[in-house]
Amino acid sequence: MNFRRNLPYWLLVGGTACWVAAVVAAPFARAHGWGWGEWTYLAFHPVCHQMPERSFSLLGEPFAVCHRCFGLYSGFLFGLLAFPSLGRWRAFLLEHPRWVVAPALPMLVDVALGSWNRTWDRFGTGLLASFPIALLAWVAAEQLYQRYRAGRKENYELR
Amino acid sequence: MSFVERGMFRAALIGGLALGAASAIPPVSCLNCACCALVIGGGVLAAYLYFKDQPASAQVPYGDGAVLGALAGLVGAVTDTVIELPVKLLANALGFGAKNAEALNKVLSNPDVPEGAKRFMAMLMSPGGTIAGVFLGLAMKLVIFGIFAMIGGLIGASMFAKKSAAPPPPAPPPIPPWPPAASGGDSGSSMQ
Repeated sequence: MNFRRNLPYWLLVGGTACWVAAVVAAPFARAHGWGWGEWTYLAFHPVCHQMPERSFSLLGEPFAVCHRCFGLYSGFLFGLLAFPSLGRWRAFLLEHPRWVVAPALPMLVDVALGSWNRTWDRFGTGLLASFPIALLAWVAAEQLYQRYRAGRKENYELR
Repeated sequence: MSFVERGMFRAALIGGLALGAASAIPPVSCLNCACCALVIGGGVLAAYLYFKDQPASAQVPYGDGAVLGALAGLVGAVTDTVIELPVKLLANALGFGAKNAEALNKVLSNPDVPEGAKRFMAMLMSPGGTIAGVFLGLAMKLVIFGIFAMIGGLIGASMFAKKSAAPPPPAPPPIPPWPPAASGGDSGSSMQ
């Protein structure tokens, strides 16, 4: 894939990869006593309960988010990386956009199960739920980038 | 070039105020622990309010949904911070602050908690740290709420934006006669 022609896609992939890396790096930093690790935990605090018993751990410290949130973020990244080679799925979802919420149903059932669910249910259903959302984000980034480029061209021609 | 269309501000303001108010009130705010449901819901609400009055288009405007969600998230972060302050003060006045201090002391005396975490928590709970914490919290919420509400805006666009039938493909150009008719020896690549 050409980097310059697909700049919004690669920016999205880079940003998401940094986001997932921050989740995994937080326990590493805490275990080594580095202060920025605590800032990372604080940054994710408004969007996750961060319960250690419901989070993966690294070096004896919990990840910055729970199993389900980590599944959601990983699923988004996985979706971004997979959709360029899933042409038929991409066409189907763009033709029937309401179907993007269907993979979230298992996650809602899992949430409703409360304390009955298990680690891999939480992670797996989160992964599945956010997978198609990545496509929407990619298309949105492309649309906004095209609008930006059209605006720049217009300004250039007016000058 | 404009990323913000007319009518977006009103929808984003209502969605943002709703998500900010819901995220700041203690029992309701727990819903954010379920995959940031309130913040994503605020983005979906903003998208619904905007797209319900928009005409159908051939392509779903996901870009508009993203911008709308991000705006709602920014409004929501500010609203949440403004409402959270008096709620915290009220909680302290009712004696919940003492419970927090007790919990903090318990954490600080726990030998299993790393030194970096203890220093960080002590800094945030100090009087100066509380004010810094409010601004720090606002900065973090602006980013986090902006991103998550943007996802909500995208989901809202996929659900509520009206999609018209695809326009018919353009007619193919007429097929030139073969062999091409002679046109006076001019091959069409004259260099003058």
